[in-house]
Amino acid sequence: MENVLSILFCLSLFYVVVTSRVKAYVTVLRVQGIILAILLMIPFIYHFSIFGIILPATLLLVKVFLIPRYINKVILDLDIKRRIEPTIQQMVFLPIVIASMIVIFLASNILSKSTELNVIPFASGFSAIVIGIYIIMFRKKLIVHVCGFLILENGIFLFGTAVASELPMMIELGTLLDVFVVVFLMGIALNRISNTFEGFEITDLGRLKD
Amino acid sequence: MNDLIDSHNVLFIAAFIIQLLSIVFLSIKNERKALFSTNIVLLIGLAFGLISTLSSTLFTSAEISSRNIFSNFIRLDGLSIYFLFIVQLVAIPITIYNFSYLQHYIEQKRPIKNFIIFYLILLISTQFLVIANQAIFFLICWEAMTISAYLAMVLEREKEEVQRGSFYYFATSHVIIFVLYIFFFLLHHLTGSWFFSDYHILFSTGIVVPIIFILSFIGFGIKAGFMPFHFWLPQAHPIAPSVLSAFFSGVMIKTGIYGILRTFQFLNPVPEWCGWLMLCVSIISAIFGVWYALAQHDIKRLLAYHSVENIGIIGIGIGIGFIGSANNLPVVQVLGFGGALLHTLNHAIFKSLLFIGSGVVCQNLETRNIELMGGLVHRAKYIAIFFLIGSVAISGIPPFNGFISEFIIYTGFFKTANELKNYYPIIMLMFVVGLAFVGGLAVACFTKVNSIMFLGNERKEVKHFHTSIYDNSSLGILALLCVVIGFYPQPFVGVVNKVITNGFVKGNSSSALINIDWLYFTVIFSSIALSVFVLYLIKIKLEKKYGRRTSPAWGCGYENLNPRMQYTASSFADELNTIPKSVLVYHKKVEISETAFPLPSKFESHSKDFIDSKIILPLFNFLKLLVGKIEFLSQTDVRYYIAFILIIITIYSLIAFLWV
Amino acid sequence: MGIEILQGIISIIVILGVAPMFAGMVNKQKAILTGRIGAPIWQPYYDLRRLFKKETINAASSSFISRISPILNLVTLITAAAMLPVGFWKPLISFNGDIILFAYILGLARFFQILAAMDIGSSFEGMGAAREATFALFAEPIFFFTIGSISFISGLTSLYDIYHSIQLTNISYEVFIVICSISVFMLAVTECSRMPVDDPNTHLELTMIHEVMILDNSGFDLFLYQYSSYIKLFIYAVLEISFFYPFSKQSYLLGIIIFISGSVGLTFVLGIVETITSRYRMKNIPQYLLFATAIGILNLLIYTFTK
Repeated sequence: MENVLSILFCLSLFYVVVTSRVKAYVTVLRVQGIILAILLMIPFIYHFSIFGIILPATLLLVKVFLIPRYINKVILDLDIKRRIEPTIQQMVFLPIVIASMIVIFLASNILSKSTELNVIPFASGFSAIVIGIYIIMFRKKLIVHVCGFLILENGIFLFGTAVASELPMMIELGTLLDVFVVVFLMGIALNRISNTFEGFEITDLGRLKD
Repeated sequence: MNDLIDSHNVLFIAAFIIQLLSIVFLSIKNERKALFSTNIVLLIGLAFGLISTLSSTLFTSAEISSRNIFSNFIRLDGLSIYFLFIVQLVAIPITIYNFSYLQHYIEQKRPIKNFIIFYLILLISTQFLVIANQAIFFLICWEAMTISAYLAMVLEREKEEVQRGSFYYFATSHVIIFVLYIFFFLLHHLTGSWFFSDYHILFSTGIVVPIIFILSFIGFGIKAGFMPFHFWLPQAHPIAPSVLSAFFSGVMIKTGIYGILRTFQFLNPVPEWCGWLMLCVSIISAIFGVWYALAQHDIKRLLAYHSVENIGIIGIGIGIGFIGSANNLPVVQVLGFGGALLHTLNHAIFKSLLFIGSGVVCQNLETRNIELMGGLVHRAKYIAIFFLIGSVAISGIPPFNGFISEFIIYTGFFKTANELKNYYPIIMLMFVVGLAFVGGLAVACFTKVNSIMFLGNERKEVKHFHTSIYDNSSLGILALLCVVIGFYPQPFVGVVNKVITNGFVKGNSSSALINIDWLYFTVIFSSIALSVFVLYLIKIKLEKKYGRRTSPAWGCGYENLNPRMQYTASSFADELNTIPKSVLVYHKKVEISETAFPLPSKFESHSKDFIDSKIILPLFNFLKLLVGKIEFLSQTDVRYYIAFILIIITIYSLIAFLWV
Repeated sequence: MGIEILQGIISIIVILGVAPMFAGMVNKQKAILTGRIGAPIWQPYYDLRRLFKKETINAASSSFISRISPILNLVTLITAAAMLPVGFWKPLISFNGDIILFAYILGLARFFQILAAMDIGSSFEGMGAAREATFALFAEPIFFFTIGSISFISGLTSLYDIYHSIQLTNISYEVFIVICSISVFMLAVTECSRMPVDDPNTHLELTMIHEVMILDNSGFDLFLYQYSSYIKLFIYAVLEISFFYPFSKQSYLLGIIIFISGSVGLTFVLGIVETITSRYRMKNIPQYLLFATAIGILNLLIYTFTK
């Protein structure tokens, strides 16, 4: 089951890589949130506990409803254009991603021989981290950077589930809060920037330094 | 001298003597007659050579045995005979083409007698090269081959591009010979012998053995044109006379492959990293070779890049063989080397076909730019058909020979994955997909070449298109070989199998190569051919019944279609070329005037070589700067040089003194 | 041996006979889903009969390539069809390594179709030919990443054996097969010039791929081209359906039932996909195909490293 969810997770990553619309990023974030929530829910099918359900529920609330909504609101408020404005061709980006994923899978397979870990979620999470970084590297729009950051964070989540079956709940909740605050701050910052400058591109930020 | 009297050897030696004898006929005053008689004698010599090669043990049912001639200087074992066979087989059609090709130069009053002499030396030295058994002799042949090729290449020496291209060739040849000297001296150092038959070195014996492998890979790899070292091919091929380009691409770069295979025999078995190195370099050569080819407009340059691709495919086969040898798997070894060897033969055949075909076209149209060609199928039907056969074959498409060797290589991949489970299947699958991708690109490229050159309407007006019987027969022989190997591969596969089981595989050999269901191919391909024929008859009958006529093509209502409105080669390949723009160094320039009364628009596109423009040229510019710094040393007075020599000798002897 | 050959011949006759009806069914589904009555499912047969009796018109600048290419196209596609298993029957041509022949024999058909298109000497055909060459290039890896990966996993290299090695006992293998079939579907859509890649019913020459290549053909030539495109669609349909045989229990009746229901089901899927999607921009098609390839790679990676 974990593997199937990991496949879906990776498919959503591929979609993020090939799409050229900002809206699609938000949709993918939602889908990934649902996948992660289900993934966290799996252990509780067999032995139900009310405390265990807190984390998936919060995750669902934050990742599927709050953050995407907030991003959508920012997009609407600031009237951001729909295209993502990549810096490299999509056709080149996808092979880079595929190649990195192959390397990651091979590497994590080697790692799994010495340590106790679940290869597929581990590698998928790792790929999500790398792809998140790629997105921040290769895209111009700030709002897309936020999405890339969130994908990276999702990757860390998946990564975490693979390394240890039960991470301390407080830590997970802490990261969630962290992310939420970061996104919130980014939104406010974007608002401020839009008041000062006309565009929302990373190139404009270059003018900020003195 | 007993070995000279052996009946085989008599024919063998006679063949070389006849070939050499042809030089005598050059003394005839009339250039046409001299050309004709020299070539006839040369052809007879080559035919004798081919017969003696074919009657050797490799091609008969007997057990293979190696023969030594001239007290070990020449040794005829499986690999040598196979490559000798390739050289002679391809040299015959090329020499036939020589008849008509050089006519043109006689009209231009060029020194064709010199050309013939160098061509002759090139042929003979190449033949000796592949059968040489002694390192110094091998190097002499190598040098003779290189330099005679250079001298023959500069037939049109006043053109600037010829000077430039031939200089590229000459400079890289120097690098090769430098590397090969070190290579053979190291081998001599390790074994204490100059004879190839004494070289058997275990890879684990010392740190120097990997160096030997790398040296051979670089030295022979430059000659063969693997990807980082390929830059001289697209420079030298286009400017060489077509006869020579065919020989270069068909035969001469194969000597690099020969060298690598020989080195493998010295070191057998090699460790696995050699296999991976070979595979990675080869797949890059294959993919980017054909991709570069797609971006070219110069037909001969395009074909030169295709040589890089095909050398890549051969290298893939060799890589599989190396992996098989490292893991001691005869099945994999047989399939890998088998594919490589058969593809070497196949490539020699169809590449010389394509070069000769393009040579005929270029000579008639006086341009190498395919954007100016078109509609030639109506002018020269046979050349179009032969060229088409060559194109289908080089794209690796059934039913011709290219498919057979690629099929063996594919089977090799499948077998490797099957025998060595673990993570091999994934990696092998990547290579399979890479190879399939190469096939797709080759299809795109050769449909482009064929359709732009031969189909459609004439873009540039052709006054008269002259083809001679020599053109047609030399192309016909090669095309026939393509068809024969494609439809009936068993005997060729048998020969290749024999070469490998006798020289490459240690221990139990495998019959995996022969066990492929070759009969299926014969049956399927013949039935395809037959049913196409039958359907064609039916079609003609139906057309008689319901009528057939020709009418102008649909122009969407526009009446004045002219040939320049046809789809061009650059637009055909545009979509594929813009994907790896930065690697191909592909530039497009479009100028469209948007005034009320539009002026003529302009479009140009060109691609440079990445390695050439980004690495080689900057490197040499840097060297030039560096050398410029010490230019003050170069004086006109000869006494300075004597002084320098003295200083150098002193330094050397001091070093030698301290070393000992 | 004799019975096997007979079965092989029957299955190829079935493929040749049913192929136009399959295309007719897809069109019918599409018509119903878009709220039209649509042509009867026999319409392709009528079309073929009509074309058969028409006068052949060749373009003025065409050469022997245009004459021979339609025939070659049909023959090679029939050869490819002869390698496919229908039901549990062994196909007519089945030997070790026939997946390579299968992929390359389709390449032969493509080669000549592109040449025949360029033979006309018109820019419209040139455009179609260039697109066909480009997209086919990106479609080729998908085939090897799906069928090829099953082949690598099972160690078999014949289409019939590969499909019979599918054992739906392991959950991760089941997922693997399902995702493979998705990739093959995307491949089929591309190769057969169906909706997200090419619009078979478009009216503008500039936006066509397959249709524009045969723009200047008519009569018997067009008959051959049309018929071979129907066969091609059905070939990919069979490739797709073959994933879903429960190969562990072999029975002829079951095979036939699954074959029929699978084909009908596939027409539904094709109809729905063609209704709800619009044609992609030409620029985005390689990306779409690369996406399918990426799915294949991912699928294989995950399958291989599942413990």
